[in-house]
Amino acid sequence: MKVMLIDDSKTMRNIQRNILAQAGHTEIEEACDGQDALSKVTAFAPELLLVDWNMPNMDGLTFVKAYRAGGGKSCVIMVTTEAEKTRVIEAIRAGVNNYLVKPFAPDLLLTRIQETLARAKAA
Amino acid sequence: MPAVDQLPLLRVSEGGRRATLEISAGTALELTKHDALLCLARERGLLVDQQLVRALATAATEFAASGGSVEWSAIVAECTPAQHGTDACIEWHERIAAEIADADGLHQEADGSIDFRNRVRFTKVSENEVLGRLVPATDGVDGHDVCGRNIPARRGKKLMESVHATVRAALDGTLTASRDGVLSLAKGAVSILDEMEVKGSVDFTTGNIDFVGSLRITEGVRDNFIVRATGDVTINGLIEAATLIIGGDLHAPMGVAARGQGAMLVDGSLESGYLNGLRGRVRGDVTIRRELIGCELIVGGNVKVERGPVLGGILVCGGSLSAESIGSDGGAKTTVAIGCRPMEARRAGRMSALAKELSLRLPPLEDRAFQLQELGLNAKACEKEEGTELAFEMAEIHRRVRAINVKRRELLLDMGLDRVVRVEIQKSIFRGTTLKVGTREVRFDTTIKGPLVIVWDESRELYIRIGSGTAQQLREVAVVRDLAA
Repeated sequence: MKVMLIDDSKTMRNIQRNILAQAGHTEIEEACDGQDALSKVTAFAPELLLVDWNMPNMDGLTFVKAYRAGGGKSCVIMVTTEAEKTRVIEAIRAGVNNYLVKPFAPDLLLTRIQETLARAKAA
Repeated sequence: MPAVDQLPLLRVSEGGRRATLEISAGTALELTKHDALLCLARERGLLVDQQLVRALATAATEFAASGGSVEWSAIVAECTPAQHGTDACIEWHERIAAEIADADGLHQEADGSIDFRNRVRFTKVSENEVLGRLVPATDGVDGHDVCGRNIPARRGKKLMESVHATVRAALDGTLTASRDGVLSLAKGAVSILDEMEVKGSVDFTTGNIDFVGSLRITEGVRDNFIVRATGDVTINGLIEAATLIIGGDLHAPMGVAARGQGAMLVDGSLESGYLNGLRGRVRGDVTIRRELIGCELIVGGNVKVERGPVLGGILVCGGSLSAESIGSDGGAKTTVAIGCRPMEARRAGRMSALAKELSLRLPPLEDRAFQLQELGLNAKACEKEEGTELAFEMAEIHRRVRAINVKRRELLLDMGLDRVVRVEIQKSIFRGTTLKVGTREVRFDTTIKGPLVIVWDESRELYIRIGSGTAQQLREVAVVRDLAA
């Protein structure tokens, strides 16, 4: 499965990359902010995007809105420290399929991914 | 009419290198005019070029100015020598050039001292390392003599044929090593050797040897020198109290006289004439033609001492042991451990230590994670990020410890299943010999004459068969103690 990691923290991207690699997902592309992600997403065509909220240049929410507006249909999981209910609702309205609040354990990330993909498949 | 000896004279030196005009005093001026001198040059077969025309004009003018009363002589033409081509050569990379140029190969240590054993006499190179640049041969430019005859230039010698297949030559001449090894310039060819021959002994003339590949030393290894090689090693002479670290097999027909100071690590098998006072570890089998005396040796495979004793020292043997005798008439203390897997046991020990070390990293991480958890909703974004990093790090440690423990258990299981006890002695096991089999210690207080074989049965009970007699329990002829009990 092709996965795109969008986070301004290299450490966080490495953590996510390692967790995904251990689950057998090795086709991974990274982007350091929303703008960088928009420039790569069409060519890479990921099946799943893990997006941080707070990033320089273009934040995660703006990216998701732009991605959906451009016809992007892949699953998006927002991985963020923003835990307020209003923020979660805002993200869901923008087109996010699932939401994971930091800090999270590696197993939880994999569970969220499975949940999201299963829901998308069922729909 | 002037006399013949009054005519201007053009002398051409041997090989046509230069032409000299000589005009005697009293020569008629009409014979020394420019045109007349040019005609003379053409008659002599000289190449008439601008240089000659100018030189003859000068001669005519100067002779006329003297009124023809003074003898005049000068070189009026010189050959154009050939510019010979240059031979192809290699501009070595800075590091390699320095090593090649450094004739004694000695290097000063950080404290200013020089270890004369540590000289670099072999230039080691790595795969894909740039060695230098091949500067191609040039053809040169032909010259000509004063008569215009061609003087051929010598063409530069090419080197391309001298670059071995172990060296890649790019179109721009860059030379790259195709494999790890030692750079050789033997017989004018550039090559990378993965098998090196040291002619003579490893001593102060060669320095320590550190080689990626197989090695042949035509003589021995002197005291305190170090030989490292990743491949097989053959040492035809005596190995003294040296250190040998060998990645493959070691063939040392002459033997090893380490006198309690030399050490050896061999990843493959060892074949030797004899071993004396050697400390070391051999992963594979050990075959000794004569005796094994006073060694502290751990062997992963079988040990065969063909025509001599195992005398003194400690021998740990992962496979079977075959020797003429164990111990000596004088009761030399000799210990042989069998029925164990020394290499695997070491590996299991290392695994256990690593798992323990990893586990020790957990408590501080758990403490910090707990502190962050306590913050709850008050945690800042960076603290939440840190919490994720901690969770990942802890999960990684748990995963690695689990994986190590699984591998260690498998290894221990294999060790238990693979253990072998088989001791074949042709002559005697002398008193003073101790056999260690797992947790059991077998002490021989009297000498037992052979031929004899010691084995264990399915229930790991130790038996001895002496000569063609029936097998009997080992405890009937020796003192057997269970150390675990």
